[in-house]
Amino acid sequence: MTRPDGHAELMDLVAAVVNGTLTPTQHERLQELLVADPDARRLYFDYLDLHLALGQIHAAGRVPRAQRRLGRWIAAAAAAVLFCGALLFFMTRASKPEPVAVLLQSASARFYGAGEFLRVGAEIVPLREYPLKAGRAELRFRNGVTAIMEGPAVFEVRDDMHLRVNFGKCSVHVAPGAEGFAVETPLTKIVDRGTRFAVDVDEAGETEVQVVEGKAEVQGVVLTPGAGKRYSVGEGRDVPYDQRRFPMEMPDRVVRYTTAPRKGSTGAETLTGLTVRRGGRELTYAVPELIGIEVIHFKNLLKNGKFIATVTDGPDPALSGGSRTALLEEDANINTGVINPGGSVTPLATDPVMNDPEDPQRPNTPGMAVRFRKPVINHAGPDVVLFDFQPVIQPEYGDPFHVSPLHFAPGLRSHTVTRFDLGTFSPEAQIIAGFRLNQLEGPVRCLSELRTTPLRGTNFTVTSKLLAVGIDLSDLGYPPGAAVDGIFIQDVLDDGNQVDPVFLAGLPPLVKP
Amino acid sequence: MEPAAVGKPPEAFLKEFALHHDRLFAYLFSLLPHRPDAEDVFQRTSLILWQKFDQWDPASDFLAWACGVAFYEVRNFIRVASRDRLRFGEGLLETLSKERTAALKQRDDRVAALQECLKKLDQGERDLLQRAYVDEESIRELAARDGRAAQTLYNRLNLLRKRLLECSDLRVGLQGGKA
Repeated sequence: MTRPDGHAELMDLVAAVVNGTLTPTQHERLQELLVADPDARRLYFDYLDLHLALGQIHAAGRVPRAQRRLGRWIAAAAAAVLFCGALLFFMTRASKPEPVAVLLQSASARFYGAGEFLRVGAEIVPLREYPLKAGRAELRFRNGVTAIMEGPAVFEVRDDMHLRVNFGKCSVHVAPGAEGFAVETPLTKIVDRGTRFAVDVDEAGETEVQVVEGKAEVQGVVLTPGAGKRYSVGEGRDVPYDQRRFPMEMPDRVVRYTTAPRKGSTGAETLTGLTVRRGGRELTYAVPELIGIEVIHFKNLLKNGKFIATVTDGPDPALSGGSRTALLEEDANINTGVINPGGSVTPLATDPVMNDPEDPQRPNTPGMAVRFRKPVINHAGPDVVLFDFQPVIQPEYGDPFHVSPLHFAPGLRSHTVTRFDLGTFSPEAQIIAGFRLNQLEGPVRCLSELRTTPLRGTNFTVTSKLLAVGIDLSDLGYPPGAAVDGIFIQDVLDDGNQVDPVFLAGLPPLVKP
Repeated sequence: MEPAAVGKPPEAFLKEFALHHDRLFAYLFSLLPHRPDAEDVFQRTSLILWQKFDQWDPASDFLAWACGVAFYEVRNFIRVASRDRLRFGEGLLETLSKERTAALKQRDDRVAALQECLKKLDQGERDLLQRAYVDEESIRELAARDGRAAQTLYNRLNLLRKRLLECSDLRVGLQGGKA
């Protein structure tokens, strides 16, 4: 990577920053350059870091100057005071008890507030209001009560026996021994007398209650299963019973995955395993258990200069007689793949055209086709998993794409994936080790052109995360138990970014529990 | 209700703070490119982080939380700072904050790369860095006495930093493959 020459002026300005000689005019100009250009900002950060690092590296030999280093001394003094405090603290206080409630599961759960990334297992601090912007979050109280909140929602754990819901939907499952557990809403209070109920609170605090199993008591009235009631101030009135409107379960999805880092780096390099919720069951697979794929078609006509690319970890494999598609097919390396497969705004409704070479009379379908090394059986929940690299500055739910059958038949259809199960905001989505981005130097109409078109490589330096999504073949209209031999993938061309598959595989058939 | 500071041991704070304070300062310096300002706000932020430590969720990223608190302090600082101070506009501050928080994660790789690059310097270059970063007042004192001589030193220093930056770029970049 070389810094563009256009940054000479910027370089001078940042030098003035670190030399402490920046004038107001220079400051203005610096601001202009930074506003205009993300590369300029990256250079600015890197230059400041270089300067600070040089300071730290040389700090060992430096004599502290009384005035300038005052800050450090205050920090040191504060640290000493804190340390004494810490000792006292440990002498007088026992270890921390089990938290009242923890985040048990998260499905794209997004909590409001900068940096408020809640990892699964994190404590839900009592008496703190948690605004859940989107997704589902399952809480587990230490007495065994579980509650599934669906965003947007605002809730607060008050203590072992009280959950406050100020807004939004939730369902509560009360474990034996915790009867009497109550959900408080702004206008009412639901006390559990059995096992399972659901609550929906609107902006005005009006509360709807549905009892699924057991009993619940609201304002002295006992509700039994199948009952739905809506409460404003005063009496409740009956509403239709409809539990589908409530988050009764956590969704089937890719729950998490595990990776191995690159040697000497913290970024992830190899996918080692994944956990998927299929039909309500959480199952963990090692990568070798998954069903591999073969790329059988690729077409992307975007013009030069756009990213039409394969990702590699090193030089182009085609230069040494290797295969580019192997980057997606053969390895569990998530720094490699065949990305930007092209696409279409409208999803396919007929069989894709996949000739090699392309027949000019019958142009090929833009996109990428993969064949599973053995058929994937359609079960409940995800049957295929797709991992995608996503720079953290790009859409946080991942790049949407269409999935279509390779061969249409009555009942079969395309399906559009709009959100990845693990988006860039998910604490479960890991940062990928650096990689090399190779751009094809021309449009590619078929697989053999993908293999032979010259590549131009650049190192990719924007922090990127590994996103994952499960694809349910039922969404393509396949009946349960159907054996599927492949799928067609197209970007939806909603923006300049295309889906970037770095790992794609089928899940093994489900064994009956 | 229990008093606010009961949840977490102060030792935990020291551990997190020690681990991240360099990055936190780097974050602040990029938002407030006048070093005394950055030091000022860093000081204030450190204290607030300690006071609010109980609000930090240990399962979340301490640095991200700290940067969030720091950003708020930066805005406070800018609001009350006198008009003639050098400061960035609100929009740029927000962009810088967001991108900086993300970029801090890769900082360690760059520091490691820099250390390799430093090994290749000759004695004259080492002396120059020594002068700038160890006896850091000496250039300022020189500037007060002899502005032109100081400018010459700054120019040499700027060129050297540029070279080190390019060397680090190359080392960090090369991890991904041969350029």
